[in-house]
Amino acid sequence: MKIGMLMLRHPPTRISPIMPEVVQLLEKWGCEIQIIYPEERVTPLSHVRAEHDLYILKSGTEMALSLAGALDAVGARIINPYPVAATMRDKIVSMRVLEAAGVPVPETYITSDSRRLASLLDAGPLVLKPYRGSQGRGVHVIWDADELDDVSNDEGPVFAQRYYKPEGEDHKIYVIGDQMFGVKRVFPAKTYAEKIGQPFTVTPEFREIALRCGRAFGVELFGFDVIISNGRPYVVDIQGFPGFKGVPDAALRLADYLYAAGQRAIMGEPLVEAALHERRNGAAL
Amino acid sequence: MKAVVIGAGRIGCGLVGQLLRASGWEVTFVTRDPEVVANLNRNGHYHVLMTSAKQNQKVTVGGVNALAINHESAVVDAIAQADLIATAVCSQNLPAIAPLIARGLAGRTRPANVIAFENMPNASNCLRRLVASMLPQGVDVDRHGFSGAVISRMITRRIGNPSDAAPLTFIGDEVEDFVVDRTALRAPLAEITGMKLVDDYQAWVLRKLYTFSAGHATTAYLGWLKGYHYVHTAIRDREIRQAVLKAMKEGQKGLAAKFGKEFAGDQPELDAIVARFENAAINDPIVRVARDPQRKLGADERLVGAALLAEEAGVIPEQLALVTAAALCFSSSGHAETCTACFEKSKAAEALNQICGLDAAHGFGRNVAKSWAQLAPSILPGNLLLSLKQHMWARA
Amino acid sequence: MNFLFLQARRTPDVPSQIILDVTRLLRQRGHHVVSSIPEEELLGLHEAPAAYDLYLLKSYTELSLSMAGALSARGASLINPYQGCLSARNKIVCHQVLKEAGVPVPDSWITGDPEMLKPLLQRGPIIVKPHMGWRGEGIRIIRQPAEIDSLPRFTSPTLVQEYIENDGEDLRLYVVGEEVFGIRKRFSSTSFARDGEPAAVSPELRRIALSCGRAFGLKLYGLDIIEGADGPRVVDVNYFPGYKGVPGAACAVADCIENHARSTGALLQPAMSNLEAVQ
Repeated sequence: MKIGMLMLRHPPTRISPIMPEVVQLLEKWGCEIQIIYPEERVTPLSHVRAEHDLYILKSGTEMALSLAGALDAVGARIINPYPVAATMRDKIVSMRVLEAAGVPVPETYITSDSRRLASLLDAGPLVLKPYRGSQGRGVHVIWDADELDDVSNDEGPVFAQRYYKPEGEDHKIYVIGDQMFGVKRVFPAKTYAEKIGQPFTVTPEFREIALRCGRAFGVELFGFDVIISNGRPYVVDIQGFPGFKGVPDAALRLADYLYAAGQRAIMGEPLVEAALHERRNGAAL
Repeated sequence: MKAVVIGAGRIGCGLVGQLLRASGWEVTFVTRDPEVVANLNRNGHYHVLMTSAKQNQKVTVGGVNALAINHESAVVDAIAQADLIATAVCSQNLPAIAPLIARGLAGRTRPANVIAFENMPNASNCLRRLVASMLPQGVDVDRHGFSGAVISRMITRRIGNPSDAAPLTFIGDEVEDFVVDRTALRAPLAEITGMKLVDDYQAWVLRKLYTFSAGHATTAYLGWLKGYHYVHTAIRDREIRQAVLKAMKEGQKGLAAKFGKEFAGDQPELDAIVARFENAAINDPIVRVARDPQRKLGADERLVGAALLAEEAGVIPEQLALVTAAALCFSSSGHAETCTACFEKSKAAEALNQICGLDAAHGFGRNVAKSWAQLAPSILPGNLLLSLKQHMWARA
Repeated sequence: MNFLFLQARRTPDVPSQIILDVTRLLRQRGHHVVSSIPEEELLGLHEAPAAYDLYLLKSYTELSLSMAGALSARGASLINPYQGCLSARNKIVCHQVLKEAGVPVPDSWITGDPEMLKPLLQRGPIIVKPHMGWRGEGIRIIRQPAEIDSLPRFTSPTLVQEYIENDGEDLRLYVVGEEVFGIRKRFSSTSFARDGEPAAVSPELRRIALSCGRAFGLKLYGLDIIEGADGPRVVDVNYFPGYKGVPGAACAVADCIENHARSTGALLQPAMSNLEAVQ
């Protein structure tokens, strides 16, 4: 099985434990893995072919997404699939998709001038984020109108969500195929141990939300953040192909999933198993 | 030497046919699938891909032909002429082939040997009985030899569509040896690559069953609990790997007490088995290894049988108790791979007795019942076990 | 029926002529037409969507494109459809889709590092285009390696194409549904301000134009063609262009919009939208 992985090279200071281990496992299992760093090469578009049985779109940069788009155009099988991966990086579209799928999301606003948000602050604080990109950078919580003056309007549209103060830890749900994992973390998570967090048991309510998220996009590798406020859950963010930090045996489970997906790709079957339905054959697990 | 191989599936082609041809036997396959018959006759050959961690080796098995099973006169003729009749049809199909074997043997003067390469340990006895009941008056079934075979190779799949022009390929690992009961043979049997003739056949049956098969089942049922898809993935889970070695050790201890330590083997044998489970090239899905759990839970089978023998040796088979409970959960989970109907979880004691022949109030049966009671409430759609040790599940 | 144009704020700040004309025609036919510039509003994404029969994505901005995506996610009807616009808007994806559809395109590469372009210059001059640049934004022609050294760092993925010398004339094909119009313009630094001349569209060019639309599912679009020594090459596809210089464009566009809205089974009740309310 030939697998191409679209990755972003991380600085050595940043620990990314899961992908190197995933690569190692897949190679042990006989897969030929090519790691592709889209930023570091010149790709002739006339020679773009689906040379690999499966492409894994781990990097979320514009360059990686564009290359994935080019690969998608020539019929490559990609996880997560290209149009969906691009949509999930756009908070404007993804929040709307979630909301349309019946997932509880906070009130969300978009504007090119942050000062227009002033009137909304009467009803409570807002959290501002870049509407594209992730990793939690550029996130501010704004409590009153004076703080809006400090927000730059030169970096594109301002994305604002109603801020609900989380009760207790952040809850993150990760999905790998038909498996669902809960990880809770303190916020802000500073040490490595804090970033790993603790597994927690997924409640039926969270499970239902996760199923809806998966079906909304048609993806099986994703994670989302849930904030509980006044006893109600809100999905405040969703990421395609996250790091899965804190999921027990994450690398093994991810490699298992990707290997099975690769088999489906080779057989020409649909890549997405049937997002989060009961496993094929109706097993109770 | 002529051989008729009834069953042109993974065992028939992927092991038996290959080894027979390698030893110079003439091979005629008999199968009920007309497309397979056509493919084998059209191509005259098929491939076996033998894989291991180090290398893959593709072997072409040529000079074969096939008969459709409903082509009865030709099949009976071939059986009448053969020195060896091998069966690899799955034990539930033995009643369907017994009449043809009986007819084939009836007219013979020369004794034949029938070797059943079946998953049921006493399949050859079963076949012998069936054939005996169908022979005409005065024909003695015991003129002919009926033996089982303990095989080691795992053959997990066939690739290629029989209706396509291209020949078929069977994928398995590289192990060739198989064990046959010398005392059950009637005529001298010419050499077959990989065949080992033994006088204590039953011991060999149990040796494979209580180590390799027990370990394989442990990987599958615990792997299922934890949500893995493949044997090669589950065996890499540290907890599962430990459990597999422990379960096989319990089986090995029972075997050592009964047959001697040298026969039972030690850690190196277990490590070698685990290394085979790690082979991703055979691509063995957990659902395949786990299927038909009620048969595998039988009193003399790989889990319960191994545990009871271990108990006789003074070992408390704790690991096997957990795996047995896991297999019972799998069996009652409504999984399509189980052949029999589900039973309600509340009828645990009854099921334990019916399926495993165990008493839920005593000994191993009690241990299993305890583990089962612990596991069962968490068997929910989409749930999976995160940690064996902490007994932590993914969802409530 | 109700229509909403999603527009961009233009420089100079005059409304798009095609929008004005089409709006007037649609209103004459009894329809309710509203325009909105997403950048100038506070948009609540969680609120119930407006019941416009059809949304018209005229703006090229990324925010508008995202808005179109959000509307689409909510089941709104768009011309042109969101996915097609998204693919066509990204020059890299656009190029690849066209190539797969059999549309003749120049040899192209993508890279994040300008240094890696130097070997390409041995084949001839190249042209670099930021992947989300609109029309001519950020486009540079490079003939010498030294020019690469003076290029600003690439801040976004860049499409690099062989630069095809032509005879100094721009050819644009504008499409409305199945109708293809050609406009030729003598290329100069001020050519953007002038209308071109209508030009005949050969069967080959027509086939190319319609292939482009089919590749993305677009109905209202324009494409730029360079006619080099080896034949025509499509170098850009833009959704909902200005149709400058195309006779009868407004009428054709209005017809197309009406027909599309009717055939997609649009609602007949007029309704207020949250976009309109905050305007």
